[in-house]
Amino acid sequence: MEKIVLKDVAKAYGKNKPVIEHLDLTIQKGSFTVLLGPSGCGKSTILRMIAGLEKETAGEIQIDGKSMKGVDPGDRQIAMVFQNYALYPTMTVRGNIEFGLKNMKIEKSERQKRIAEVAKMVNLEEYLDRMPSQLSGGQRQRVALARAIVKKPSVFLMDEPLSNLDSKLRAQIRTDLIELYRKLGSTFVYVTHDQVEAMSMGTDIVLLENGQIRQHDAPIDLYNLPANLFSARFIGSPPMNILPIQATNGSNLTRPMAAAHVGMRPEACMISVKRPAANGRMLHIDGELVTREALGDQTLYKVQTPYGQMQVKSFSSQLIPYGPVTVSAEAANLYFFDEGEQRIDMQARSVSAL
Amino acid sequence: MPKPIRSTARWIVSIAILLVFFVPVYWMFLTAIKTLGQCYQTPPSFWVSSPVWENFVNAINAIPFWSMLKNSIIVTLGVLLCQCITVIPAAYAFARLRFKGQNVLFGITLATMMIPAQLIFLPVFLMFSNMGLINSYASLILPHATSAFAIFMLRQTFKQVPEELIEAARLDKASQWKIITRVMLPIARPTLVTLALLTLITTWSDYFWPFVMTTNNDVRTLPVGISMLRIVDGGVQYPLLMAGNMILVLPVLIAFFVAHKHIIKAFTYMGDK
Amino acid sequence: MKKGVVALACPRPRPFWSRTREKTKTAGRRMLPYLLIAPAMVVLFVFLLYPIGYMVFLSFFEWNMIKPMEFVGLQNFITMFKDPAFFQTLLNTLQYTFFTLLFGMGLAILAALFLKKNTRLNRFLQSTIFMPYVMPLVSVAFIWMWLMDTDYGLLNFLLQTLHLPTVDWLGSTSVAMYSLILVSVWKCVGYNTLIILSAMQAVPNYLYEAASLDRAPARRTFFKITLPMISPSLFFLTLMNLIACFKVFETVNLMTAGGPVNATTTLVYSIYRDGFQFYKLGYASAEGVVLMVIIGICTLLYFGVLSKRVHYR
Repeated sequence: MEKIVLKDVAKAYGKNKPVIEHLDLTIQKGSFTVLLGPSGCGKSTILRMIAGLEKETAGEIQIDGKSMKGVDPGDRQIAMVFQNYALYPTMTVRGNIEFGLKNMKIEKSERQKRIAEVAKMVNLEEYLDRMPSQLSGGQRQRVALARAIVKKPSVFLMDEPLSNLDSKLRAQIRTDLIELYRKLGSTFVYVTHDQVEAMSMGTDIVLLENGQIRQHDAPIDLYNLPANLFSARFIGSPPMNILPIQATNGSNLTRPMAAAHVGMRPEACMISVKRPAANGRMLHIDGELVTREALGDQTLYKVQTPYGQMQVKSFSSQLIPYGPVTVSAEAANLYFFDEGEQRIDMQARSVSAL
Repeated sequence: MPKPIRSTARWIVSIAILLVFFVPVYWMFLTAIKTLGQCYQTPPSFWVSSPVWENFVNAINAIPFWSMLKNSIIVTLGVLLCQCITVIPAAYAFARLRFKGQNVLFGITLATMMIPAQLIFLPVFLMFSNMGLINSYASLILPHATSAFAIFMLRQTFKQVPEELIEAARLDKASQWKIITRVMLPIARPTLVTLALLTLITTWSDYFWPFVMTTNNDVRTLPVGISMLRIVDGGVQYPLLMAGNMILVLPVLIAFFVAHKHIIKAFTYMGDK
Repeated sequence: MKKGVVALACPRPRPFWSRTREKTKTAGRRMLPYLLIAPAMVVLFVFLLYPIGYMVFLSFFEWNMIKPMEFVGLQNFITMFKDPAFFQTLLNTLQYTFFTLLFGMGLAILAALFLKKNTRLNRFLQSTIFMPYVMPLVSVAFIWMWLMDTDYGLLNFLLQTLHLPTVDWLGSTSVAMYSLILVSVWKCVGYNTLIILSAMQAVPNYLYEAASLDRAPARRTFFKITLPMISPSLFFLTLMNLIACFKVFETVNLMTAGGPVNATTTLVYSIYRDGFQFYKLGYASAEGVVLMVIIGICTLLYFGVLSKRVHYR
């Protein structure tokens, strides 16, 4: 069932070129939808339009099938967590959590009950009478969450809520958020530029570039079946190696007619000093090993080839020495993209053998 | 310079500074509790063993003191109240709203900071006299009912409030009024206190405006009253004058010692555009 | 600041008051800003801007509040510029301004350098210097009038003890103006010190660390780092001091009444006397116009210089 629907939405600031045009997006009820993309792709703008903090220039936004035109942010049954938390600095933690409830005219006993509940949920019981300035970054983050949860909204909107935390805390709150999501069962819309956050928490990922949706899929599909070069490059760390199709010349691999680029994930590549014998199931590319980063459980290699630089992620503890190397990948792990940078589906399209 | 000479020099300069700035104030206090004879004795004494408090009583009796004190309080609080009413909304509008003519109007506001009262007192006096409002509280309060400087400072403070905070309040279903009173003003509290202190001190101390705006004692304030002590009984009676002076200075000095940090900050503000 | 940069780089979100449900609400919200600024604007226009216009208007008339107003064109200005007394007034004002500025700023810079280390004693001294600035001008004027008393004043007593000739502080035509300047410096030096110190403390410490690594001597550090860094504050302070000097009235009125023989008559005092004592309202207004032009020129000069130079911040 759809929770939020954006129909042909556009957004422009003043007389500038619109940042978003003809956007259609459906967010399913109970999903954890992540809006993912580089900075400036419009993901925050979409979130803020759903919140009603910004007005769409054209098109329509519906929540639960009702148009949100002219509905104030406070009346949309949503809660938002901001990147810098936006806690009211002159109110205590309790005051921060209570403010929204008071404005919603909820009576005192109910307010107290809810605050106690939510404080317990996010472990803030001892901090209720402190001021935000007396809290650590992680605690402030939890206050921001509590302030959202206590309103019992049907949609949670989160705008890069983890980007101000250090990496350790981030990992922890990530798991907390997954737990919270499972417990509350509401719809989450989460904006981030960090693919790890997107992949680890999201049930749906909306990948955006320049105000346009590049792909809308489950995380695992986004990784396994990137719809286009942008998806392929954005998801995965290090990103997928993309070479011109000429790199496959000389091998007797099957490749689609329209293919312009060939891609392979670094973790699906192998690296060896001696070139293995050619066969129809492997692609071999010769090159020179440029850098080597041994990370303990894995090693990252950077290889300069005539077709461009490639990266290889190897889980072997054996280090390859600097010098000439060969990068190999199995035919099944290759992705082909056409002139328009769209991936060519090997099952659907006609395949020609060379 | 070798260290010991340097530190001795430091001490000498420090003591000199203290003397230059404390002795005049001490001298005022001392004169205020001397008899006329002690006051004009040579060499002057730097200590009084039996202070003469009558000077204060005489000073109070020599002028319509209580009505002037009342006037001072009415004018000072009146100006403060008026400034609250005019400054806070204007600062909010300039900081947070967008409207046509905003920049021009704000520019005019800034420009008026450069117009001292001493430049326009004559036309303003004539305006009030045309309306028959000379010797009224209105003539003392209304011209100072707003402060371009305060609008400017408060606008800066309001501007520094992050946009997200207001958005969060809107998502919390807060009305405009609530956003101002519950979110913006509490954040601006330190600035408000500072500006209020500034207004209180300058209005309480002001001599020029009540002096030129009044022709009788009806609404004259204390600074004008104290200045009238100079011509009591022909010649200047310094003990009387200094006693009156003490009454005028004391509230300011007490405020200075109590809210010392705030006052220093208030005036630093004024220098940092 | 990072935050500011970010705010500039992003397109500004549309303000929320422009977002509406109904037409009537739109009109109401559009009027809201004007309603909010109206009280302040009314006061500014009625009591600051209109009087300026009225003053300029009056300067073309002859009027003593009894006889009807008579248009005289530029006659007031012509009389004024032909009057040696007016030039004396102008000169007095400039003399007062120049020396107050010179000593007020000079001593303040020295004091700021002396007090720049943040110790308890220095903080105390700073407050001490600052104290006169918050005192009412009336009090300051009377305190100094008493200290400067020819026969019984403390200053002459000190001179006598040091076997120096006594001075007729307020009664001599050649000294009286400098006495007023002394009072003015005593009162304002603490304020100047405060502003200069706060500007100095705002200079990032790493600049001094870099300078000391470069083995720069103290004097060069001052002239090459401190002074340029605090110059915006110094310029602003100069403007504030200039205006404060141009409007001097209280000390003149209370301590010397413009005398002896007009030696301390300043522009504002002259406006007051011509307007309120001699009822030459048109002429006094013309003097006011001159004062306005002087202040205007200083302000424009300030902004002109500011926009061209001093961009260290």
